Amino acid sequence: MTLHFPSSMPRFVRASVLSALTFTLIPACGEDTSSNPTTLSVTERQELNQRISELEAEVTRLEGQLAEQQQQQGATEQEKQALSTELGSLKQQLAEARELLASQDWDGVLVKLEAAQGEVERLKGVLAATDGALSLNAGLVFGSAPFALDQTFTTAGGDSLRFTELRYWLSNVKLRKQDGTKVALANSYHLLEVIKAQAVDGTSSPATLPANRREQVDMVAVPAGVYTGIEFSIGVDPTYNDDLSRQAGELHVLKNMTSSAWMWFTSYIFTKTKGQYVKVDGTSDTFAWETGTNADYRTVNLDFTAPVTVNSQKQVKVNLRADVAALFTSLSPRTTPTINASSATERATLSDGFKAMFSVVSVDNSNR
Amino acid sequence: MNRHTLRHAAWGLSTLLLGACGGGPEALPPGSSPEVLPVGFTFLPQPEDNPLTQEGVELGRWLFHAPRLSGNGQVSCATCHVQEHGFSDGVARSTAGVTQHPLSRHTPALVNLAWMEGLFWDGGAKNLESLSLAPLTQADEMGQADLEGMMAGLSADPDVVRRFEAAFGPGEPTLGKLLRGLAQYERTLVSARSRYDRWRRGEPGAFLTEQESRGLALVRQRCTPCHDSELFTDNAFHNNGLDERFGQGEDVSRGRGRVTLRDEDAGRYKTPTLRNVAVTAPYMHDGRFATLEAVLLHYRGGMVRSATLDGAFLREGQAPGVTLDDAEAEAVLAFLHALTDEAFLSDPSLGPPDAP
Repeated sequence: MTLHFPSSMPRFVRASVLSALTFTLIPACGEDTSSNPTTLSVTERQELNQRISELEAEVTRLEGQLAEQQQQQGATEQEKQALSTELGSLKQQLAEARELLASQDWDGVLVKLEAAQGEVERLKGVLAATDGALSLNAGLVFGSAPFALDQTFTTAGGDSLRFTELRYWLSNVKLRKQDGTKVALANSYHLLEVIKAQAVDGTSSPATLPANRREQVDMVAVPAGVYTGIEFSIGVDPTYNDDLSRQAGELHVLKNMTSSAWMWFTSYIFTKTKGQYVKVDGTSDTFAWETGTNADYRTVNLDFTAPVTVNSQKQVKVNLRADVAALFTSLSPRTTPTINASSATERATLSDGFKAMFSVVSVDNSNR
Repeated sequence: MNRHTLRHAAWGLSTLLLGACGGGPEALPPGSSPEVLPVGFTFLPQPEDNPLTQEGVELGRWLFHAPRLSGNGQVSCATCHVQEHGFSDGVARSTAGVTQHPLSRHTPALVNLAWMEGLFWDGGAKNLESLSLAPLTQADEMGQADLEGMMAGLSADPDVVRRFEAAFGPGEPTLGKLLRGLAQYERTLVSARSRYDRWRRGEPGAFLTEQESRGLALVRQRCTPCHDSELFTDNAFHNNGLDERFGQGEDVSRGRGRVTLRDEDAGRYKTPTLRNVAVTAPYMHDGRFATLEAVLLHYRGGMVRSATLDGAFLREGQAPGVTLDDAEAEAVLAFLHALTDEAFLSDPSLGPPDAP
């Protein structure tokens, strides 16, 4: 019997289909053999052999899954140890089953296989309960229109704007549980941006940052659970912002999110908003707004429309709306064309704008 | 936990334990500099994620003296931070950078930085790990406009890779490791072996003259709270009456205010230590006073008032200043020379590393 699975089917789904099949076949097998243990046909023997092979493959898959989780630091050291030990004893059981098969102790084989099968199911449950993934999409809009560079938008205050760059650090994503506790996701430093190709500051080599539009972050090793909301921050927390030698997530000095003007303050640039605006006299000029320093760190708290379940069987995608127009409710490029390290008040207002720009559109929590 | 981190952890632990036992010099990594700390200090502060190791300090020492880090390959940290001048440079505003343009401030001495929060005259660099990026990339200082190229050059040199791997374990040299190595070395620039220190520890033959003792008493009485403690600095920011007006925005004359953006910090600068002060002329953030005598004259009668002048200088019925008569000023001067730490200024283990 060969099993064909579409390659798009997630690995653990394939695994569970396989084990379900195995599970239904084994009792049938057991009935056959108990009635006449000594006269097993060649086909039946092959079937048993096949069963062992399948379980071995299953164990290998579980090992892979475990290794992946260990890299992602999803479980505690003790949990990982325990799982490794259990997988080891499973392999031992299957090896013994093979020996029994060779010595034609059919009952022994079946007992081993059934025990192994139960163990595999249990382990799968354990792993599934700890392994989850989350996508966070912060779709950029300007009011009711999709956001794009080089396109004219009009603010509520009547300013006419065209953007050339928008970037911000989205960091420290946390999921909120029903009881109010929060689960922090590791290495959560993501640079979201809509930029044109640009030279890398601090390098004279021909290397450039390519034009890029990124509105989504994908996070793995998300602890399983039921969550009612999400929290994330705009900017970089003091632990990492105060020490530029620390590296986590996508934080790096060579991403044009630091500059000599900001190094005096020891801070990443948290956000960049740049473009052209139309002046009173009808000509246009550039505006360049930046935020940074610990004072500009802002945390956004959003409730989901309904609780979502994170585990390896469920897909979770949070769709946010990131309305750039919110940055211009209290600030205008006409009166404030430049916001930089030395404009503390304006930076605070702009940072509040970034905090206010996000809202939940939908949460997709379908089965994978 | 790999062997490397384990070793670091063990070191950190032993430092911690010995420190707790009140151990002095024994608390430091064996064989490494510094050998002694100022009286009352039992351990060298270091961040948990960048503990001192001999190899890390060695890497930092090598980097500190490496002109290849600069834009034109000719300027190292040590170009302006000269050991015999207490790691300052003896000129008011250096022109030794890659463009040879005068810098906006005087090269600060690098002394007992392990206990200093807020580096530079305005405290803009929050820690030694973040400090080096500024002079490295500043156009008139080391002028490194291609950090990526600089790292690529370091990674292509097996000797350099070996130094990084010895310090931080297997892997490519990275900017983060470079910053950490430099920070480790800079933390070991400890001055605690002056004649004053030896006298303070009661070492045989160590002494202060009667005039120096009077000078010390006067420093403790009249020069505090700024030049306080065994570090002879409060590591805080003060306006000591140099100017009447200060710039706005990013103007460097805004002093500490340029970093905090607060009006009350305008014209304030970090208190420099008095340790090795006799060899770190000229003085003040812009090197405006050529001699210690000139500095004392300023405090005695040359101060100007401004909105942020430190209250410690206000005197009833008199212009702001520090009250010292001629004899007292002489005594203070005499004592300041006793803070010169020849061992620190000539310690070969802090100087350029031997060629590989």
